[in-house]
Amino acid sequence: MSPDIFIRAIPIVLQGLQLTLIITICSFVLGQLLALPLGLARQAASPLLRWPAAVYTFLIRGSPLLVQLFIIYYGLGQIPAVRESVFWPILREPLYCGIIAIALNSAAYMAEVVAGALKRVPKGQSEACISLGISRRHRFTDVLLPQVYRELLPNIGNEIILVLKSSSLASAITIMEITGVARAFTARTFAPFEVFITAGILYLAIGFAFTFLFRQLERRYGITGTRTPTPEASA
Amino acid sequence: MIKVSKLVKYYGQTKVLDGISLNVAKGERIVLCGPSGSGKSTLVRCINGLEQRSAGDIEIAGHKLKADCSNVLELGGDVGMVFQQFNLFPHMNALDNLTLAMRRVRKTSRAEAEAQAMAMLERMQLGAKAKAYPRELSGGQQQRVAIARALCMKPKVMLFDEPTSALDPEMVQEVLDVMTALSREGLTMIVVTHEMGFARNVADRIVFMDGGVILEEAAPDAFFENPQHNRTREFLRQIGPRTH
Repeated sequence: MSPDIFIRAIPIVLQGLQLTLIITICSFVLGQLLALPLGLARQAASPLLRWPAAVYTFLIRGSPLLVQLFIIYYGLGQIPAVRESVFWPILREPLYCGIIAIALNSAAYMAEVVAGALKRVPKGQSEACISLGISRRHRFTDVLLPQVYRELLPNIGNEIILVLKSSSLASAITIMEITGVARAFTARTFAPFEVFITAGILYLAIGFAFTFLFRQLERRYGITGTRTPTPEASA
Repeated sequence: MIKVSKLVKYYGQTKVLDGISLNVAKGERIVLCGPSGSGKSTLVRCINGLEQRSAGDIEIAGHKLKADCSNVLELGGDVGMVFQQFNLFPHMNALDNLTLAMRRVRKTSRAEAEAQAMAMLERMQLGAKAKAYPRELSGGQQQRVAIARALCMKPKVMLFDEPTSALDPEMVQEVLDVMTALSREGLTMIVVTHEMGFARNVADRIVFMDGGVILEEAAPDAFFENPQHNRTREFLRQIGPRTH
């Protein structure tokens, strides 16, 4: 271990920072956007909505992200129909494939969390909306989802950390994010310890920044302890 | 104003309402009472479409309610409901709790809705609490906000489902006072309550339920002084200490 290599490793690892942030933020945002309709579908009365969502989350959560990355990046390109489709310009780029795979993964996990939180909103909230004549759409947009997302802020903050850590797998499909550049550096210098320690510290720092950000959001928007108790079943 | 005929309701195999018929005229104030499990809460929840029914017809404030409640939103605030657990929206302050349905359902402009809501809160002596969130209010204040929220829709009928049962004893009276004041304004009301003092003061008619049927209906004096049914006498004896 040498301080000299540590110092040389810092600028190298920082070269990957931008891609790591791009993958993390894009996958996270895309994942959250997909999680909402999926979560609603998981909760829907109609089996035609519920079943596809259940199969999706089963497949995604049941298989490793690394395998999914390989399937999307290497696998889909084998199919001529995919190569001729309008999606090919996207699916041919490793960066986009990485973002898509991680986003699909994050969405599957978040969908379960969203569905669970929706189930936990006291029934009285919907009943109050119905008795006031508030439409289904506004019941969700104005009453249920604002409560769900306020409650889920800690989970969402946790999810962005998980997405950040997942982004390191993107190095397996040639993306030179933090882990990718660290591996390349190791191949040249045969000094894995210094560069991966540096990379680890950088991941910790990014994670800390995200955690801090979400703490602020929670402090501003969280509604812990404000739920009215669930009405007992009174006849 | 309300016509319920031959209403039957099952929960699974259990019959909780067994052929209820009830007519309520405009401006009439009904108190529904009976032992717990008698079906009185279920009856008011069926009347405003929160519970599906197994058989029977319900007509309320000019709306024929379908058995599967699929047209419940047509009632659109014409039937105000006050719940035992208040069911205020916890992420909105008192004012926003009041204005949401006015703006979304009645399509009132924000300025107009807020002006009306403020006036309503003043009437409930809660003007100073307009910006307070439900968690910052006492139970009695929360229930008054909930009553105000229903009243903002200018309902033709108000239903109260045990509005004071979840309150600490010292807060019961402020809510009963608001309800008594409302009853003097000619609003049609059905109130499920164990507060027999309130029933005696306010009701035009007291409806006593037990085992999913209406056993007895009478004006308050006749109901308290000369109950016809054994079960009614027993109920009044048990609840007696709370009458005065």
